[in-house]
Amino acid sequence: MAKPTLNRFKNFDAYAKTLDDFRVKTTTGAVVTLVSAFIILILLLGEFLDYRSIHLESSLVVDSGRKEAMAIDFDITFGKIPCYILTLDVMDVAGEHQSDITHSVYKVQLAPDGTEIKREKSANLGSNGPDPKVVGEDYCGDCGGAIKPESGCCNTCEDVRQAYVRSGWSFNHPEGIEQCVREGYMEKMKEQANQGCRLHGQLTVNKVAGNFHIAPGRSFQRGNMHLHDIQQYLENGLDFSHHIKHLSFGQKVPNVHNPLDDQVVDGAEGLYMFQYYVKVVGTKYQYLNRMPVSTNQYSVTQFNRNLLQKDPFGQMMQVNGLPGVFFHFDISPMLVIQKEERKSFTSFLTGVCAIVGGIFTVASIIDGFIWRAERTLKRKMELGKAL
Amino acid sequence: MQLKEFDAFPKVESGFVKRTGSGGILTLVVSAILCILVIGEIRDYMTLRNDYRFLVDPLVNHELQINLDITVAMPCDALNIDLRDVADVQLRLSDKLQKIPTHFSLGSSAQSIHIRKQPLNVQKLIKAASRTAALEQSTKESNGDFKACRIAGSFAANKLSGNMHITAVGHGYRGTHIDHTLMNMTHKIDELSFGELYPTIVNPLDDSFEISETQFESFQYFLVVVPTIYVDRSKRELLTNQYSVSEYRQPLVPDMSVPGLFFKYDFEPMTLMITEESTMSFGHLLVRLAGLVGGYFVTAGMVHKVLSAFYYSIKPELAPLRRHNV
Repeated sequence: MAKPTLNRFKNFDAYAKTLDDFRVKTTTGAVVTLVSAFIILILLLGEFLDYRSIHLESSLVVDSGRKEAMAIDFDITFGKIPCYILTLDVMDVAGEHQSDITHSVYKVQLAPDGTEIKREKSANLGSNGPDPKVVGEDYCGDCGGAIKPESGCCNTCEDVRQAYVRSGWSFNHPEGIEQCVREGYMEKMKEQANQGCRLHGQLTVNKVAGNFHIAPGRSFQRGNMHLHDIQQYLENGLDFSHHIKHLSFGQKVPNVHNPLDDQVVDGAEGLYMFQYYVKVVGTKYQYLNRMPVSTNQYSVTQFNRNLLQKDPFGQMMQVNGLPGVFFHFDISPMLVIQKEERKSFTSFLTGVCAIVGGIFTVASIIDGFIWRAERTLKRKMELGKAL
Repeated sequence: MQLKEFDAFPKVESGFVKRTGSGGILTLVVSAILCILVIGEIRDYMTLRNDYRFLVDPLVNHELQINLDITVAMPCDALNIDLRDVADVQLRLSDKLQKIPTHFSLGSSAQSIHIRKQPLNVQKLIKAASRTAALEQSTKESNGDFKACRIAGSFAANKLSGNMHITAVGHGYRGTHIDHTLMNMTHKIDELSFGELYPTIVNPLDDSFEISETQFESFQYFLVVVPTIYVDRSKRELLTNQYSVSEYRQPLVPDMSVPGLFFKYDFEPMTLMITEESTMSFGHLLVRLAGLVGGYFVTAGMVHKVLSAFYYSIKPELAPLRRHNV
């Protein structure tokens, strides 16, 4: 029943088969077959691996994003500086405080051996006034003769300290100041004297050039200047040895390495200013089967400066700069796009067909050539025998 | 079972196959075409392509060497060389660089023009660079009244954007001005490069000169430096820096500008990696060759069959007896 229908298609058969009766099988043919099959197997394996593996296609475009924010994740440990000394500030390129930053920064007090003692969320909002129950409702603290703030009162130790700085005085003897005694300022200092500090957390900043720095002393704004009250640390110096466990400007993606991760700086006794000039390059990573991720890579140049320098006559030169760790970041106009790609199935299929068909055809040509040569040789030898 | 049984290629005793003249001609023509194509394919495999990739520097950078060889048409002791960068570091370079009194002459070496016109060949570039050709040409001329000064040398500076400048003593700094009749900011740059010194690599400013028309003129060069890694086919690497430059000259505006040469440079965060590589792997070449040869032979055979069938259907009297097919 089916035979006649099939027979109708016989004339279209492109694969004309030699009848078995007429076929000649040779040993060399078998060897060529096996060798070609082996080659095909290897090439197919390579093609398959190539098909399954993910290629990373990277391209470079000009960053066209607007009003973007950038998350800075950091985890820095200072082995020799107690937490109460350190402050963290974020500024933009014009030197102004970034007011619209959200932050979740934690300060962890570390014992000299590195174990964590106490963990607190750093509130950069200024200290609250004293408890009214203790001092009375209309308390107005004395500023110790220093220039008073606008409110006219110095209600906290911090207020007094700022008043002192405003007057250009050094705040070296807090034990004589009522507000500080009440807040236990000296006890806090003594208790933490040998401690270290670990700062970690996340800052979200606008994607503009700027800097963030960790420096001693409460910072404050005077006119257009950003100042730190560091007078009390100038004489003895501070050991700003630090260990950057982690610093990144966005989510982690494959193939992006943060150069500052695990950067250790030791032996920074004296008064050092560590500057990291970071250039941030926007990066978009397009996964094969996930939402693309926008993140940032960076390159960095480090530069250290000892602030306590002596002039050629052995005299201390005037301190020019602020001790601490500074991260100046600059934004590159370029955006790197990394795209995960895999060969399409049809192109894999085409590859497979090209391998199998190509190698077999070539092998059959070679085989036919060998066979004819062999036969001609044999016939000639027979001819020679006959003679 | 014998090994013979594995033979997958149908071979028929010569008595059962028919060879035709047209088939022979076709085989020869196809072979000739294939020869040309295979040679083309192999040549394609041999030629190398430069692959350009960008990566963000994964290392923490510190310092970088800057190489300089500039001749200014002013006496040496009237020149002051200084560098300042964004970290507020000042490098007083006047003593760190060699100052050689010389005569001012202009003459661009033909070699660098020649090199500049050539297409990029990474392997040649790496080979030439590693040979560290001698830069120092002797400048021991007969002593006379040297009116120019050649400033040459290398120094390390922070890898930060900065401003290197050559000014006349007293201008822009404290101190007494030198004799204004001596001032002439005409200059010739023989070498200005960043990173290790490879005299064979031609940078955009090499062999350039500017002639100052007045005594007080300031020349500003704005450079953007792109760190570059060249990798040739045997995986040898060469780390260097390229730069692009734009320049600008300004006659003196009193109290506004300082006469001199100013090189303001900045670094790109992206590192350019130029890799010399072949367009395909050896396995890929094999597959392509097999596909080429196999495909051509099979297609030509089909075409031959179709054409001859067509021919015999028009002239059936010429058709051989072949109706004995099963």
